[in-house]
Amino acid sequence: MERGQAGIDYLIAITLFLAGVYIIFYLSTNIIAPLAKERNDKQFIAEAISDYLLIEFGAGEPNIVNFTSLQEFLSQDHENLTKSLGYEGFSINISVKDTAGNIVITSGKTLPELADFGYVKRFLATPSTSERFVLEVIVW
Amino acid sequence: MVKDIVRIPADDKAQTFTFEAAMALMIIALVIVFIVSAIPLTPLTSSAANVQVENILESYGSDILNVMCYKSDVESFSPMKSALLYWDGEPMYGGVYDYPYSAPLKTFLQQTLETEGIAYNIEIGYFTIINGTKTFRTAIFVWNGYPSDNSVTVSKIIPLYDSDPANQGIKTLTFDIDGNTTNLYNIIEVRLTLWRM
Repeated sequence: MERGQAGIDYLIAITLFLAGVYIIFYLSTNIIAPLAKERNDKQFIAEAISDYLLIEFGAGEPNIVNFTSLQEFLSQDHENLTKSLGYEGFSINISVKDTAGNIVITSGKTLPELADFGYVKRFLATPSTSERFVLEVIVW
Repeated sequence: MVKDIVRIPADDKAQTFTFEAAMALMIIALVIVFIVSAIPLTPLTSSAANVQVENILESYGSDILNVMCYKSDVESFSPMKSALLYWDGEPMYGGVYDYPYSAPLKTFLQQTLETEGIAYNIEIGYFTIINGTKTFRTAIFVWNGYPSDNSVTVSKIIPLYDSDPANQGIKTLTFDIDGNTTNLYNIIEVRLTLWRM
């Protein structure tokens, strides 16, 4: 039996099929990217720094800090800050915000637009005010 | 002279079928890899891979209870205690309601948990007397539904004193543990359960 049209049908089908394969492989990069294994060292350093700050400048109770001492410590430049914390070679940004998100203290380097970083958010209070604060430590 | 057109017999398509099969196999393999990798990330299923998420929630919960149960030098009571002292004992659904002295707790929970997509329940454990027997009971303070498998619960003890005001609040649920011998009225346990939505 003659099937003159079969060639055209086949060309259309294979074109659609290849387009489908291209779309799947193109999208798969974005689908699988979040599942890729990643290093956690920066995350652990950020957690260690937040623990250190809450304990070192603590005012007798967990998560309660002496705000003046903390402010004084965070007034150092980035080089001295990383040296004091023992993490030279890493870039660090530490900020204290009120619960509405306004920055009260900020220290360290400005955040890059794109970086693989460790991030920790902790909460703290001080004996001298009724305000509660958010401590954010970012390491990259 | 017209030449005969050479026709491709159907049997000669084996090569293209093999190509399609190879592509299909790669896609199936990709899907299997994706499914195997994605299983531990199911948000409501508890697994070893959720440990880091649970650790973060535990840290969050401990921090929140610590700062909410802390009374600074310029406050009469901690935000948690003042909200409990004036609470009417009825469960609050979806978050802390508006009533006297509830605002600091309500605002903090909204800004720290609700905006972060973290659901929470707060329950209060207290001692009461039922038929002459001291019994430990639990009351719902804030309820947002049943927690998922990988939820985290943190708790803190708050002491109540005879000198604390607002006898219509949490103090009505429990009793004066030592009569009026000391200023201690009783203790309550605040349980905060957190889970990712």
